[in-house]
Amino acid sequence: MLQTTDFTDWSLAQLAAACQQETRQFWQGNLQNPRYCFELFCRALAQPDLETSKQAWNLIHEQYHRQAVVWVKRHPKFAHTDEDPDVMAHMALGEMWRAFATAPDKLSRFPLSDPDKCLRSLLNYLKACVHTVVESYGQTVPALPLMEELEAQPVAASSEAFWRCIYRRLTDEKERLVIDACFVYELKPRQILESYPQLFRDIKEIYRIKENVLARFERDARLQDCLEGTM
Amino acid sequence: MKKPMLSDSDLLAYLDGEAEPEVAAQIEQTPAYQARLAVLSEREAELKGRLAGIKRPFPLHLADYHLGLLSSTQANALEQYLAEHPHATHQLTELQQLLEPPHLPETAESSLLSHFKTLVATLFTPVLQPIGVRGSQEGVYRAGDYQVVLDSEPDPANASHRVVAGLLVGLDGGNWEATMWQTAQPPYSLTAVPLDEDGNFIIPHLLPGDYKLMLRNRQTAVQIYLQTTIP
Repeated sequence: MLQTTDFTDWSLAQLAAACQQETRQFWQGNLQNPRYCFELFCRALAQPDLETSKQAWNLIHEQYHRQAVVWVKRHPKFAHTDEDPDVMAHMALGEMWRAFATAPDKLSRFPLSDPDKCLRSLLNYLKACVHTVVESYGQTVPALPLMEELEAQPVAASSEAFWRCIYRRLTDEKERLVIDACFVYELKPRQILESYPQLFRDIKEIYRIKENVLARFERDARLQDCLEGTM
Repeated sequence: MKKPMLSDSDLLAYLDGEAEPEVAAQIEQTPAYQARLAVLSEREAELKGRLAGIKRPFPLHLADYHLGLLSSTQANALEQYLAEHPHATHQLTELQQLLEPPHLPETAESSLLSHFKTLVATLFTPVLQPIGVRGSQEGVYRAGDYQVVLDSEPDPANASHRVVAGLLVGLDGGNWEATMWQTAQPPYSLTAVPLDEDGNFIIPHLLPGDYKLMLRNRQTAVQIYLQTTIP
């Protein structure tokens, strides 16, 4: 049975102190109901535009920065960066704050009726932010769009149609992957090789695939149709 | 000694700064290669330009998808994107692998999980057997005193997906939840649903593939794992 507590009269400082204690218990495996940290997250993220929410987030930042540093250091691609893990942890926490600030109803999508499950989901989200920061290091990533933009993408219609046309005409999965990574994600073959070390023998294989596809654009009428928009 | 003819692969590598010094010198001293470089450059620029309008999902939206925070419309839009962009599918797989097992601070994970009595269920009926209409298939698994009955059939909402209906026999109180995830081929997603009081659960929108199912009861600290294949 979950314990419930009325936190109406609790200050942020009180909650932060209780959350700190709670986190210690969590690390020792003695925690049953993480209600203080959960409440602190709610204060920070339910209405991110409020000044008190930002103060609450600063306390979250302080509380979970160490954990974020651990996750950064354990990330399989951290070794490929030359960044300070402390800085990356700050960036990850910043990403999480921005994600909630740009989608004010985001917290309502978490399982708020179950503080334990919800807190674990929030920490998982922070871990995903760590992954994003490490993974995106040195790469161009799209600006964070509003959630609604996932549903409506009219600007991209002609590009999408062009992509579908060539995607259907590529001959196998390796070609599709290389062309997607090169021309949609703007990765160099060296970066593709690092991302798919099991899939490609060496960088030359990736260049050969790219060469074959580009050559087909010159002699394959079906791919030329895509370029000319007559697909 | 006559120098070897260079291929478009060599020229593409040169454009990326990947060519060996002697190859680079050969290219720079040969007008025909310079002319071919210009053609390849133009072709690359054209493809990038034509595809520049594609709105790549922000990496954190993959986390939103993984954590079940997207609306069904948003999830469908993302799934459609994933179906046509293998690199995005790879990114999702990497994220999911990083986030499993979910949520817990690394330092506490082992001690918390050790509180659970873990049972591994094995297939009791010989194989998944067709049992009649609409391609429905069934399997019975045993783990200690528990039995898990799984039944999958085509998802009425999407012909390429299947729905798994499950029944846990031997309930002993507490709240059970079922979590199912695909283990090998991307794209996979983690789906968690509660069991009703009779032990029934339904997990929709599953692509064919190999899955792990975890049934967990936090109150009685029992978790059951099994592996199954959705045809």
